[in-house]
Amino acid sequence: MTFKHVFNKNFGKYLLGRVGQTIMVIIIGITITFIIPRLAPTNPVELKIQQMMVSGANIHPEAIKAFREAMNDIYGLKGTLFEQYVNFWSRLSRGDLGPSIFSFPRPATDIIMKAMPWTIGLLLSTSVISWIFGNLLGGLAGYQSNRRWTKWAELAANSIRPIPYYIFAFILLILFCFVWPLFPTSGAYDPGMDEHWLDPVFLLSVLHHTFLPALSLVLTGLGAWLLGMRALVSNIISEDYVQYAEVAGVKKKTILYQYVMRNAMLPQITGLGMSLGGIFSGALITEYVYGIPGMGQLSYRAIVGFDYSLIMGVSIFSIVGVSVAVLIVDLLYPIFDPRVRLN
Amino acid sequence: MSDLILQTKGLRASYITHLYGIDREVKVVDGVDLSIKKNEFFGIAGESGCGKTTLLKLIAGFCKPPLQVQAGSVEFLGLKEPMSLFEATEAELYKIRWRNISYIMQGSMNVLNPVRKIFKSFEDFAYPHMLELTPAGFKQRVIEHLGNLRLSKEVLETYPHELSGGMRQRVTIGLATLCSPEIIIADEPTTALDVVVQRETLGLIKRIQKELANTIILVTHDLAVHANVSDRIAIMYAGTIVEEGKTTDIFDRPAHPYTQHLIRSLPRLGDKEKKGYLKGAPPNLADPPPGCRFHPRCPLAVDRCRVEVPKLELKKSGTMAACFLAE
Amino acid sequence: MINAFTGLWKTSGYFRFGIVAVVFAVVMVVLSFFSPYKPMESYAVAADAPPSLENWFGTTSRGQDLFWQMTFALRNSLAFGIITALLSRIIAIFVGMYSGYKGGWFDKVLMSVNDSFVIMPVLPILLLLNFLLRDQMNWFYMSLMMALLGWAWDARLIRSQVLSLKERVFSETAVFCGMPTRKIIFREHMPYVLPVLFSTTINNLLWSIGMEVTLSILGLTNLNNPTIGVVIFWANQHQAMISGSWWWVAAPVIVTVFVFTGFYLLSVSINEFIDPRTRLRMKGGAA
Repeated sequence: MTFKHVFNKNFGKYLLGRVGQTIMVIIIGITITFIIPRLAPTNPVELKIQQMMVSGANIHPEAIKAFREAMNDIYGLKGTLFEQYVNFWSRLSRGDLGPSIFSFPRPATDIIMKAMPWTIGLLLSTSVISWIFGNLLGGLAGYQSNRRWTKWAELAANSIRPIPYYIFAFILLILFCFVWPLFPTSGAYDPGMDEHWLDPVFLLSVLHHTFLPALSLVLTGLGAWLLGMRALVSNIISEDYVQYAEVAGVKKKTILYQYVMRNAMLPQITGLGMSLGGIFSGALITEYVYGIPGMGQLSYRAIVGFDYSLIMGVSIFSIVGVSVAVLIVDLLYPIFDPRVRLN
Repeated sequence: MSDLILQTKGLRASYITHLYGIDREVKVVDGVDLSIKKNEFFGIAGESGCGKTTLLKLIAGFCKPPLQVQAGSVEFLGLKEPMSLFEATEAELYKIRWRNISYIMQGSMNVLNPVRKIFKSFEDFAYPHMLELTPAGFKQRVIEHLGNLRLSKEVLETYPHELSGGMRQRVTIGLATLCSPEIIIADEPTTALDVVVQRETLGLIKRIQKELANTIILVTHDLAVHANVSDRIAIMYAGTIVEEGKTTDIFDRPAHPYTQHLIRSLPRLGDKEKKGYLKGAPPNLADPPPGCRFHPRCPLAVDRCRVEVPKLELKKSGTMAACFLAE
Repeated sequence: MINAFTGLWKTSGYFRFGIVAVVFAVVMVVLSFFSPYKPMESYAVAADAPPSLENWFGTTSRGQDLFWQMTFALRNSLAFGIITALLSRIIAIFVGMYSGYKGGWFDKVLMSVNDSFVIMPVLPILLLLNFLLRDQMNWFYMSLMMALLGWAWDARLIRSQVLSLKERVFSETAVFCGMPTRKIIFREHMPYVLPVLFSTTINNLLWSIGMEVTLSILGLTNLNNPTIGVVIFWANQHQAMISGSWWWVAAPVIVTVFVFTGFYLLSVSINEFIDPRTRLRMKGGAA
């Protein structure tokens, strides 16, 4: 199977369509992020000024006026809406989100970049693990739907699935950090350690701290994939080509993997792309619960500290990040489905 | 050494479902005795829903819930010892599947795995039964075999959706015949094909039967096809065999009222009279009528028909029929 | 109808559990109207008392009876969820069915927009919105916002159901018979669309309450109006776990898990029952 075989003219069309879609999502999302604050009756600069005054500082009115001017400039709130929009995009393209109010004058972009790897790491590892295992288990459960373990697995998946991310993360926290204190309650590694990624002691500490949040995300995800795959598989079993293979006496293992799972997997790949947005939100929440220094916790600090650029930044990064990830997943699809390759 | 290759005795099977407190039993095959000879083209004809496909699956030894065999047996007589298919172990069945009994399924549209190349399908289906060949030797054999069916070897590297319907049908036939099995079961192989391809396919199947000198069990509702290829025909109605005999006898002197009606309804060249039709519809197999299953629609029915089930017996006309009123 | 109910009750454990959860929820909601305490009244009873015969769920650090708090919380959360689910149903059905039936470029455009909403991570946008509008935010606006962000996934499901139905032979037959489109939609297609509709409603309900819980815990909603999330927020503020008032956290969590799981299992069991394909599959036939 050569590169040419897979990526030919029709794939080019597909690629264009998907890239176009991604760009549209990004534009819509970022525009929404742009519009919302400007439609809000509250102005983030005024909010900050209010907060500063409330906290008891005695500030000279002239100083406040100068501060307001500077802030409006930095936050791109000067000029007409259209001018602001253009300005907004030009700054974005340079990666400039403005400084963080909370940690002034550190640029918001920097802070977010530092937090992002944690979120990505958590997200990537847990989605891959839960997708793979969820589909495997779901496929087995769907194919051998009469065994006892499938009923229990289904029950477990059905019980976990409806529980909101926060509650589930919280339950695990209480169980394994309070009731049976096996894991630390917060942070991504032991306090006092520096980030030495090549140090096995550090790595172990990271694993210890991130195990529960990862587990929380994996379990919620696994249930969903398991149930979805099981439903798909039970439909595919009645397909002609599966029945034919069974009548012909093809080995059961071959049927399960090559006939059933490989076909049932296809909608799940699309499904993965579609659910990345939701899984991302879940990751943010879980980070907050467990104090992992990723974008989730960053969001919380930004909210508490009235840090407008940080929140904007998180929104924008989230939208761009998730859209690109979805695009990548969609582009991988033709590798698995030969029907999409040619037509 | 008998000249039979497969025999069913009193085969009874039903679909049994329990759902939301409702139990239901659909008696889809209700007492079928068949004796199928070696080197013969045996046809089974009947309306949709009469149980033909289920019967075929049972003959192939394939029985999955909710289908359950209630009584009777299916015996394969091609090995040294007769093998009862429903008493054999999974391993024994595996040995004869595809090698001794193969299957051409209804509707060639969707019978091949869409994500596997054609050659992989051949590997999945046939190679485990031809392990005496090396992988290269196997591939060679497949290429030759497909050549006989006028398929080039490029076909092996394609995916099913890249082939036309007729090519897919030939691939399926190739799959079923590769191991030169003693019995090939063909379920409506020509339905869903246009007439030209239909003729080609039938010709192909006939040729294969002559070359391999094996048995083909062909099921179709189309009597014209049977007239063309079958040596003997069994007519099925509502899960039972109502008539069985040589093709010429069935067409010239049908004994059972249902068969008579079927033959009469076939269009013939020069026919000018209006065709009649049977009122009513095939019975609900979950609640079949007592006695002869055909009696609600039979113009000749008498009281005995409503109570007793007629047995399949040799009539003077030369065919075996299950009717009290036929001689 | 009654037959269906008893049939399901007898055979499906999921259904039984679900009905129990629904009954529980209804009882709690009804009780909330008879509560001896007002929702935000504090120090009405002894603070930090563990569950007892007097205070079934215990009391909070602000002297509120937790049981009666939970009746309000459940009522408010459910009301919020139901409104959101209904609002987003309207959008989802409209978009999904219209897009599915119309087809062509109309469908393409609508689906592109739809997918944009599906892919967009909702939480950061909700955070931004609530952050800025928290003074103006009341429950109805939040409900509206969630509906505007949460319709997309379900719209796609409904559309794909419509598409697969359109291609079925029975639909073509109906069209050829001259059946008006309205009739086709309501008589022929509805039985297939209903299960999808039903399960998406419950899922949307659970999702929106889940979001509300998350936002409340972060302190972004109206904290004077008890909902499940608000109760947990205050429990966290008063460090309930560490100070030993575990019941303050346990009550909302357990009630949430019970009600959510119950509703979900209910929808799963009813779905399976309504779905015509389940019965066909059980009979061994192809759908």
